[in-house]
Amino acid sequence: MTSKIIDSVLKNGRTVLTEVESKQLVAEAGIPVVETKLAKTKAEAISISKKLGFPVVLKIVSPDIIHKSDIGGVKLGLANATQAGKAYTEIMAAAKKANKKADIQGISVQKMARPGVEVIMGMSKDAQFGPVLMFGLGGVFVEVLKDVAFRIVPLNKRDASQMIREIKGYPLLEGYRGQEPANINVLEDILLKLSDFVDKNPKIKEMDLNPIFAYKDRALAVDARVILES
Amino acid sequence: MSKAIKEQLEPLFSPKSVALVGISQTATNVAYMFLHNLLDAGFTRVYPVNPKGGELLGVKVYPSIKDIPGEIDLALVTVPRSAVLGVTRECAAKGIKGMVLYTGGFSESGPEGRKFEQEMVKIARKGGTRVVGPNCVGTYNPSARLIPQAILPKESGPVGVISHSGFLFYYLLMSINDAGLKPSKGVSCGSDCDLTCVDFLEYLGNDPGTKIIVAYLEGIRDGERLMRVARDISPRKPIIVLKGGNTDAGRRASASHTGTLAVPTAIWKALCSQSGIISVDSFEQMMDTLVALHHLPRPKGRRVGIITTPGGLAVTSTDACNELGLEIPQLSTKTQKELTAAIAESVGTSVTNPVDLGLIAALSPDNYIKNAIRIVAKDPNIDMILTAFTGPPFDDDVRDRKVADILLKAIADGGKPTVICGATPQGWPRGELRFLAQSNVPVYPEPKRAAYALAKLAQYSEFLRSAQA
Repeated sequence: MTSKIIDSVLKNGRTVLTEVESKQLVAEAGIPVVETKLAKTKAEAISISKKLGFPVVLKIVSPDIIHKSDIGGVKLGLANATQAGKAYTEIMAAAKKANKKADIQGISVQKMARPGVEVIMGMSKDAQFGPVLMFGLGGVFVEVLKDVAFRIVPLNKRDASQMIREIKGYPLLEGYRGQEPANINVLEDILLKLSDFVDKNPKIKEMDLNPIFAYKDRALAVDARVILES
Repeated sequence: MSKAIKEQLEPLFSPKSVALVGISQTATNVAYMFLHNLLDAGFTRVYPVNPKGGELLGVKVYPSIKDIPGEIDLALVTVPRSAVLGVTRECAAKGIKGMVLYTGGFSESGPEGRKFEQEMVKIARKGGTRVVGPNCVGTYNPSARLIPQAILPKESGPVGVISHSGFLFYYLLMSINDAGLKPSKGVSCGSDCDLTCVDFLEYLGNDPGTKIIVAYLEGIRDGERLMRVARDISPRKPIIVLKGGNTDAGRRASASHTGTLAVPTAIWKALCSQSGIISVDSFEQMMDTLVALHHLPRPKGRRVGIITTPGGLAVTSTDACNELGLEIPQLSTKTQKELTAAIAESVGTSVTNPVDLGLIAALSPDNYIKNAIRIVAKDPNIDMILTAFTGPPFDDDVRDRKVADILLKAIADGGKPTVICGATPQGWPRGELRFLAQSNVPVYPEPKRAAYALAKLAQYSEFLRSAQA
């Protein structure tokens, strides 16, 4: 399988995809992902925001800035054109202050997604078993409790189903204490699509969908990160 | 199975002729020991090799491999490491099909050993010779009289054996024998420099005489293929694996043992779940699981009916089942009614699950336990039965045999997978348990072990159902 995004990034001598490129790749895999566009000017940021609909999120796009929120490179919940324009100017200033030499490609604009149950999916490679998928609940569950499950690619339906049910936090996906439940079939389907996609694209070294917002009828990848084999 | 694996491994398990390279008449010479044992086992087409020539145990010794007349299927090589490359060249030139390398000091001893090993494999492959090992004792097949140690079982049965460790290979063969089963074929494959545990798994998976496989594994060289091969075999025959090197210290020990890369615990868990491999944590658990999987039919679910005479065993058996994720459901009203009628004279009883039959039942198990098994086995809420009771404080062959037969018949008629936990204060096994332990119903001396065997049985059955779905 060939991917234009992968080919062009490698041609540029890079292995780390930007947020916008990563999300394009996620969309190529057939996985629903929040629509994200690159703005190169303040005017562009405002017109994209209007088109996507408020509230929006703006983020710095630069291969040289990894921890975007630490330097003030992320602005959430922007409710109108004035706020979006102001955020653009502030992010640009913050980024230049943080790293004068940073290669800044622009600022990404996306519609702020309605919060859902946060889950994460990731792919890394094992020296002997090849690509391995990880699934877990987002935030504290993965970072502190390490409540995650693994499966070796390629996954079948049974693997995807068992993988989701294996984590200790599974009851949270079923709608704990009146919370909106996650649609498990949709999550299984995304795992299978991810498995199929990384299986067919051996040039992908790591791929993280973090977080994915899971709702009762669908799920949406909100952020993504992809690294290619050098 | 790829035809190549079958064709290449068949002569290693059923060799028409075996060369013993590096033989000398000393007590510690392994080739000499093998010669003695192979002759004892009735394997006569053996060709000892030593530059000095002469005769050993009435068999002519050849100065070199090329002097042996006719074709050789298998060579056991026990020469010092410095002589290994030369011997490999001779094996390759002779067109020997397989070479078991007993000698150690290769990739398990560091980068220099690894280079040496790669060189050896290159030479062997040029002549079409496949290498088993290094650092191993090679193949065993009682039906072909390939029995290299006098202590090993001489009759063949259903259990295929693979071990990265040579010592544990013999230990497993003996444990299988002690558990009342017999091995089909087996191999100690050492450091997997050429042929790997995955090749042997594929071979045994397609060997008609092998119905169930046990393996002691350390590192894996070809993980992706292990996944494919195990996934293919598991629906046909269970694969029980004890994997060594699961802790940091254990991994260091394994690196200097087989020199292979350790498998991360999370990935091992994923592999087992996806491929149906039944992973165990001790040799005791391996044998307990083997016996249950070999003898028992596959349960439809994980709901256990527990029948006991002492109340303490009712509680500990229930705890043990529950901890392992087995269910102990309510018995149907019909079952409870029938049980009440059947144990009317006993005191201190309970007809819920666990069923506690009270003291009288311990004194006449052929009546009470038999009836309880018959009644509980009919309950549609129950998939498996664990019955725990004490043997009597005396041994009476006639009485014990009779009681055992009555219980075995009730279990067979019940038709549900049943295990017995037989604890006795006077040692184990006593009374009827002595005869039950020799039957095809698994008997364990401790509730945790009985529950563990049922849990593994349920796990494999769930894999089978999902693999068919």
